[in-house]
Amino acid sequence: MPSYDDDVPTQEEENLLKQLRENQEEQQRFRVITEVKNLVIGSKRCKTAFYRVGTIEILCNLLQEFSSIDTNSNDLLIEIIDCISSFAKSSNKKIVDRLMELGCIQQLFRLLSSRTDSIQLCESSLRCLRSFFLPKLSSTMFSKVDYTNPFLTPISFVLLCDQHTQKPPSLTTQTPKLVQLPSFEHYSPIEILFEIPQSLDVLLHLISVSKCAQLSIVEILCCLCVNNERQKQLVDKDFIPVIFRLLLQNISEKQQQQQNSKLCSINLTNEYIIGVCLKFLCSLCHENASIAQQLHDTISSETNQTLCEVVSSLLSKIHRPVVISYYASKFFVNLCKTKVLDADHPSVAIESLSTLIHLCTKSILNKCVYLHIECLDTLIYLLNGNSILHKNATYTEQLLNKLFTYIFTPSKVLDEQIDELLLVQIRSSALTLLAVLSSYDEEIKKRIADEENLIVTAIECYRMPHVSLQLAALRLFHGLSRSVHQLRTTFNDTICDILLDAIKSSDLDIVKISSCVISNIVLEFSTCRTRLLNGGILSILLALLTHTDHDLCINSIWALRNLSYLSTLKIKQDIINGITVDRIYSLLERCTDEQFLICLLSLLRNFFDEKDTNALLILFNEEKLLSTLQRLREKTHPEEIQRELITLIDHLNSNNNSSEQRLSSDSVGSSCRTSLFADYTCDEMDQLDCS
Amino acid sequence: MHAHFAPPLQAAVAAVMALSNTSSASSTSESHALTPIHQTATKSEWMEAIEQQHLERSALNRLIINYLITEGFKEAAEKFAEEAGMPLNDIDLTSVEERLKIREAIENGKIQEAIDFINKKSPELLDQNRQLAFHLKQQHLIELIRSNLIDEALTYAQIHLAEFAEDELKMRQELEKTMALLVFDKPLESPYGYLMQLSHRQQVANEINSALLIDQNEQSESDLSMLVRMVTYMQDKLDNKSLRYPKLIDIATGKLDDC
Repeated sequence: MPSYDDDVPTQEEENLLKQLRENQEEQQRFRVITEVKNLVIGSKRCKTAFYRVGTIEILCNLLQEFSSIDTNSNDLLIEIIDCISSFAKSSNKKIVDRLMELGCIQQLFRLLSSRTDSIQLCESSLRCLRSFFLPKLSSTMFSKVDYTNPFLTPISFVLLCDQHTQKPPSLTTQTPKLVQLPSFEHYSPIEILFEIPQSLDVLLHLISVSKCAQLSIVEILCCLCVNNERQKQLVDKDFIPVIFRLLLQNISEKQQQQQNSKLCSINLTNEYIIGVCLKFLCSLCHENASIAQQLHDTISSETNQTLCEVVSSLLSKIHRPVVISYYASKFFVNLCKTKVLDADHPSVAIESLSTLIHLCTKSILNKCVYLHIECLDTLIYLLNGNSILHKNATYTEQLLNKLFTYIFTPSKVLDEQIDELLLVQIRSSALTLLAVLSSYDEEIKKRIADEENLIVTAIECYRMPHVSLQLAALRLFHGLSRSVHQLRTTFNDTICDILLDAIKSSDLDIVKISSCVISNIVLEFSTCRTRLLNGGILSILLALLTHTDHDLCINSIWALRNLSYLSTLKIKQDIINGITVDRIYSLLERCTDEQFLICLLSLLRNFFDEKDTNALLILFNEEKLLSTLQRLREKTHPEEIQRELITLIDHLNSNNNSSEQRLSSDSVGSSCRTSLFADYTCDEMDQLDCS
Repeated sequence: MHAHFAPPLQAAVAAVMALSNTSSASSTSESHALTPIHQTATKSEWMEAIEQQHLERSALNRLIINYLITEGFKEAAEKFAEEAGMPLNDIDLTSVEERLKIREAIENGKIQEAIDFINKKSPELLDQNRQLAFHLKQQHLIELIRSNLIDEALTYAQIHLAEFAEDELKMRQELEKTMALLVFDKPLESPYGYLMQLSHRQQVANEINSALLIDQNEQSESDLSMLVRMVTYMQDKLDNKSLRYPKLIDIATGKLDDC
């Protein structure tokens, strides 16, 4: 079958488009535009074919022409806008870019500012605008939505700030501003919107037009929260009180509707608006501590309730649609991750956590796979770094059992016809959540590791051609590697070989996570140490010391430190020869990276343990080493580095090298952490510290 | 319009309430192959229990109106509401009428007309749901085949349906079945003849109706159909517990099984 990418309009379609170009009386024009619209809506082929012959330009010109005419051309405008809206939904980037180049977004805002007489025109324009902002999801994801399921929402279920195409807000603000190019290649609809003067005022003004307008506007606002700067701009425009008011209004209307026994049909508009308001509040405070605090402190002037109280009240039961329960939970998760709320706060530890677990373990969500994945990912986000919640999370066992099912037989939980990529996604998320749960508590680690076939399945997942599954499997190994017992029992030769393979991967994320695992399993009591050494791990780690990625450097020096602990003289000599004494001195003199310095000093401490001090000091020149360390002590380094230095100096000065002079590893190494996940700072997911 | 629904509907509603009570009372019993079948009640006891269930007429009327509104029977809903003395002030009857127009167009085989109405009422629906767009166009193809417009059917399939077949395996398989109708002299009697049945038009109409309701943020299924499903579900639960009871074997007539 011919690919429709190369298609051009058929003869009949060409004739229709010719009529569109010709100047005609309004009624005929209306008919032609409606026919074009009916062809374009629901057809990828028509969108591409019509785009090729300049239909978009004609429509944009018509939009401009009829927007400025005083006569009542609202119906015609609505047809034009609905047609453009369909093009804007295209997954063909060229079409959407062309629409933006032609100034479509600006034209819509001009129309929304000037023509407020028609509610239908407003709604149509806002829907069109929204089409530019909502992501173009794969058709396979939404082609199987079961429209008989009242628990689902037809609205695209994506939290834009969580999309893989968007960096976390904190990282985005750190990147240098892009040079403005004359073409629209680097423009996003978000940048265009913020450049239009008073665009936010227009949206603010239109929010009271109708429920449909509210839905479109708040969804657009959700999409604007891409970084801290944009979040602040929205807050500065006072959107918080407006959305809070909207939330309260719709909750109240929903309650009235439920009490009103005269109604014969249930309208879920209020619920959807509640859901989208919550989604906006989540987007607004995502990774933004000051806005999170502001939301936490927000009180309604009408009801005197705090925003937290209102959101908490929505968690008293699982709502229809379930997006309300999801976003209400996510709100408290975001407050927790920004440290506005403690992890043991009831709204987090009891309400949100139990709701999220309920949502991803109960079968009513079977047909909304994306919601399953969102819940799992949100649980990962919450539980990573909040180990006090791990026991709560695994308390009833239902979560663990469900995660095992997702990993082993996801098709039994979900629709068997499900897209393979979604299956991979859900397995990855489930494995990663297990990794997080296994990272802290020994009992949970044991429960997970003892699950029949789990380790074998994790190994199989690593071998699959999906990076997300490989990463998830490695994360699970990392979580388990933080246990002496697991190091002695679970880690076998197969896992060693996997790690030796992973550390040489071309994917940086895989290398980083495997280096985290390796830094634990090179310890003296681990069953993997010998195999790793025989596999050349030492030379690999030495090579990674000079990698451009900071986390990888830290992991490497950490791994070398652990390798040197209670090690043989030969291994110590190999490490020293690999790094070279000159380089060690150079690093001691010049290194400003505190984490690296602590690891290096602990490495030196491990070298000069009781039996090997004399043999190794010869390589270093004792006097030179002591004076270097003394000079280091005179600098204004943090306390931990100073303590490490004192210990090392005392150790070298004392010929007995008494082991009582070693500080406990907990007090020294507590600041030397490496994040498991690049995007999350985490105090808990560290390697074992044995020095 | 007279409310002839009352007896079987009343029985269904009362059965749900009775079953609900039975199911919760029996919730601790385990289903076992060797466990003897327990009789919950004789038929007469059951009927007596049903009679004792308190049902308000207004509840039944609401169920009926809800069904009529959801399915798009505007005139029937208006007349019934008038006779039952229930105002329809909170119902958007224009929207009901629009859905009815769309349903009628589909059930009469006028698919392009239906597409025009759908795009006026919910211009985003067919872009957001490819399956719906496909089913509508597939139905149009079926209508062309029914009218024996073979050349037109082939052209239409090539121009308007090929893109769906490229996207998804299931759609390609459905398209292949539809195209296979062209091979048979009597497509209605072919293995894929069910596509040509008028019930297939109704199936598409139902699918579109539910989608439109959801798109308009309304409940996509009537409470009555939920109730029927509930009866079936609860009876399955009781069957699994090996309990013997007068089963509602015909929802439409309210006929109970003898036990």
